[in-house]
Amino acid sequence: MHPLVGDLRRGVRLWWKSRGLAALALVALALGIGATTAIFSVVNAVLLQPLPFRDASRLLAIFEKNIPQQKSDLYVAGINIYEWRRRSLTVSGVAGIFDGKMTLTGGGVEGEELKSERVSANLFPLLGVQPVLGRGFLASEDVPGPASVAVLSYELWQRRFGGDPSIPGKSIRLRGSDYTVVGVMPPGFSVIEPGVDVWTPLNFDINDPRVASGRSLTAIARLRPGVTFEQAVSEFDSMGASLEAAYPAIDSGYRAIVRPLAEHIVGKTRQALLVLLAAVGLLLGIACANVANLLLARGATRRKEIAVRAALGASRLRITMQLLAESVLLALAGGALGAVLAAGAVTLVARLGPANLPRLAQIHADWRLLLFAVVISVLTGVLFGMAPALQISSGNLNAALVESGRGGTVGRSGRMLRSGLVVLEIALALVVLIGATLLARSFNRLRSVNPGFEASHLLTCRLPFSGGRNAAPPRRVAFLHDVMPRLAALPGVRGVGASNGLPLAGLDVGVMFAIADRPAPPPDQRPMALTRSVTTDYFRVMDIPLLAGREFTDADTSQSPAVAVIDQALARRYWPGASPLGGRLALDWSPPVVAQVVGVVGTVKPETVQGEDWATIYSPYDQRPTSAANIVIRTAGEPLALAASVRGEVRRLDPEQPVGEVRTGGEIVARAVGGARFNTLLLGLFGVISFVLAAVGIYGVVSYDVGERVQELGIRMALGAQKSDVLGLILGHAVRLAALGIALGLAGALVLTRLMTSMLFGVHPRDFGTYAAAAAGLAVVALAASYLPARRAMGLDPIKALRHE
Amino acid sequence: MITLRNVEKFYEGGYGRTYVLRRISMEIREGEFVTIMGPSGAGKSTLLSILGMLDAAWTGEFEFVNHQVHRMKPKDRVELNKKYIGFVFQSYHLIDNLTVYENLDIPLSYRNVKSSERAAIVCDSLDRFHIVGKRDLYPSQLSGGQQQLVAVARAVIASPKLILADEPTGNLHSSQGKEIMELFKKLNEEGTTIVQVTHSHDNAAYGHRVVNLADGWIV
Repeated sequence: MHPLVGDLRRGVRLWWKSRGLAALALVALALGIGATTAIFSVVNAVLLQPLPFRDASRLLAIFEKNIPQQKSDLYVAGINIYEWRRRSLTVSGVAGIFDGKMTLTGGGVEGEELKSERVSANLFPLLGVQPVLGRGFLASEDVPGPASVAVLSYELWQRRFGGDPSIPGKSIRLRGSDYTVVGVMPPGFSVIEPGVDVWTPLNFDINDPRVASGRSLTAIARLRPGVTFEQAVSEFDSMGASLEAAYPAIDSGYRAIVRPLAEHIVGKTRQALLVLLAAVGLLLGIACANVANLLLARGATRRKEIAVRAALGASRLRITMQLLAESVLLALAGGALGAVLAAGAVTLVARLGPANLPRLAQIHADWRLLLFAVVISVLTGVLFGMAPALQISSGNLNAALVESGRGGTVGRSGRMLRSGLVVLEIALALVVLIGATLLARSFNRLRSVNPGFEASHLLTCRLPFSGGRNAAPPRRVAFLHDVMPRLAALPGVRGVGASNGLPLAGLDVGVMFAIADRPAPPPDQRPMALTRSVTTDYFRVMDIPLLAGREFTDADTSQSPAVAVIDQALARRYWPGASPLGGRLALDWSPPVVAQVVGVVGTVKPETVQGEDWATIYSPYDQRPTSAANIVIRTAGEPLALAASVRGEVRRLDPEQPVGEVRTGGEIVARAVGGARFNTLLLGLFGVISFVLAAVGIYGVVSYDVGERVQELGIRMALGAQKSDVLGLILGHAVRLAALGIALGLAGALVLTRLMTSMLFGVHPRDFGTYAAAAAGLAVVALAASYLPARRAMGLDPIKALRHE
Repeated sequence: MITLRNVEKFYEGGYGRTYVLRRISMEIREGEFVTIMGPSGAGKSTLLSILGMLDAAWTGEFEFVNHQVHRMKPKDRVELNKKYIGFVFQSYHLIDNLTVYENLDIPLSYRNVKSSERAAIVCDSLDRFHIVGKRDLYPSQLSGGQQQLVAVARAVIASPKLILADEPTGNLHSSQGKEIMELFKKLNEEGTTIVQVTHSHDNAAYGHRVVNLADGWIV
């Protein structure tokens, strides 16, 4: 048998004999490797891998900002895309994208609302992406007028058409019109918005003033060869000045915001991911320190055995090989467990990650990163597992034999190294813990923000009207009037309302407005407000408080004078200290409308819990019937229990009317804080793991220390030490380690938590309470972890202790 | 100073009690130098541990400087130990990671002596035992004889009335052993009561009387 095989067998046997120690080391390794690999995989997929477009680093995303109104990331006006395309020397093409929804009907199945994008014909060539089946759009198809061709997403093609290879050339029915499918995009293809099902040509008529001035497009451009990003930014800025002069009514005060496309897609999550990456880096450090400590402790107990082997003639190489075999065995087992853990974690992140995490579909466990983590762990294991061999080879054989013979301590250097590792572990754990606590407190603050409506016992669903038999505005109104009493009559329903936009679901539509009886500001300085078309019971059902005036009534019809209910944010801004009731709003709709303010309601959060309040103008649905309505139902019991009945009632009334986005109020809130919850959960998990690892580390060291100092404790007892003195001695050691680790950790946290500023809401990155709580928590755990071995020390029999070797 | 009446120590085993000490009754007066002798397993060290309050699991009566030890709580027994007793062990039992100075300081630290006084006492002791030059060395840097010298210095540093020495020269060569025994004799002449356990008749000759143990009995 080869000596190595024998070493491996002995290694297995030895680890089996010290199963507890091996299990601790394995758990530490697995957690460290698993977490690091999982997060590395996410970061790699989201941040590091280039976007799946040709020469993706040269693609730009262009938005606009309104300088006087201090609004940024606004959609782009149609005329500007046209002008940029015509004037720019720095970009080789500009494509527009218009987000929307289209209802797919026909084929004898229930209609389905699809996520759609109307795109310039040059978008796909600009990105360098070819459809997997058929073709993209021709320039001749992207002309003013109704579109008649569509490109499907791979997922829709599979889901609704069974991957039919002959789909190009076939006709589908979108929004009540026939479209010819011309192509199918590759799997997972998306530009900015994920999960788009269907693309149609933009078909913008630049000569139509509404199209030219409407800010509804995202622009994508590609840098010309040899042009730098800075040159493009500079050119778009100067084009902004000349466009302002050319189109003052549209472009006064507006400038382009030019960003690399990748930066636009992943920029908002970069900081959070880097913080998570830093956290798992620290976690891996803690795990390695833990394993190192355990192996050092084990090595120390085997010094005599190794010394005896050396004295009996084992060569340094032979001893090294044996220890190496044992360490590698452990590290590989830890690596294998870590790999399983990482694969599970990555799958979990890909499935349960927040919807706003970009490139979620591309996240998968990366074997190179796994290898990296395993190599790090193996190196740690090997280095520290071989400590006894290194000591023997350093010529300290006699010391080991004599020291062991006297039953004395293993020496100050080994103890200092182990103590140093524990200090490091505590410091790293505290940094992670403070980060996690800051996020948890921030998340709590987020959750405690009043979104302006009552989310519990609320069921919502979306009824898209475009394309179906309810597409015409009078039909929309009639359908709602028909369906809502039916829904209200369902058992367990307390109230039913409808709105075109739900709180926390996005800004949706807005309108420029002015106060009718005051001097009107120039068009470019007119403020913007969000607009919502709501039914009479909407405020009551949503529990949005009426602060003044009245809600809408059945008397507010398309035939009656236009009325509006405004929210408190708008009332305070434009009628400070006065009642807005009776005031009149000039709304820049087409055609323009002047509506009388009849009520004031509480402000709701439109997009995110932490986001700014937007002035909101509510109109009666009957006066402004939108192309989709979100039904809101206040329920007596569990909201989702009613989902099937709601669908049934809608279907009974119109079997072709799609019902989409069935959600509870709780889900809407949860989705709005999904990113924060994801970060908090992950960092919280890392915090707990590092907490446990640090506790295990300090327990291991103190426990080993007690074992090593049994005789010393016996001597001290013989010299008059009381149990309390022994307790003080052991705990004192732990307290010193913990104090040093905590001091270092606090210093580290002061530096590192600055990275988290953008992730926090209502909590300062140097929040004293958080630092104090985390430090105190870790100190308590450190003391608790060292109390067990200290108790054991207190119970030592001095006579036995004196005879201990 | 010490009176033992019917002191017994035993272990409960599968076949009944195994006695280590049986009906030990003896008296040691203040200023005596008593040697306990006997073969291995006779119970010598156990008896010394009981006298030193290190062993609380025994029966019988034990009177020490007018204290009824058998009626005292463990904590009070430790206090008695601290006040009156110093130990010298065969294996020296110095603490490896403390210097000579720090080893001498330990007994004082457990007796709530102020640190300024402690420093003076330790320095006096270093001087008295001629180990000033070794004060910053660690035990591993000393010879066996030097280590035992430090152990004796440590045993007497808190001015105990009683020194209990368990095979104090067992690990030393003869000249070193003689040096230590001369030291004990001097301490005894200065008034310290000494009880030693030894196999050596030469060492026993330094004492006033010998108590022989065999199989746990005084013989």
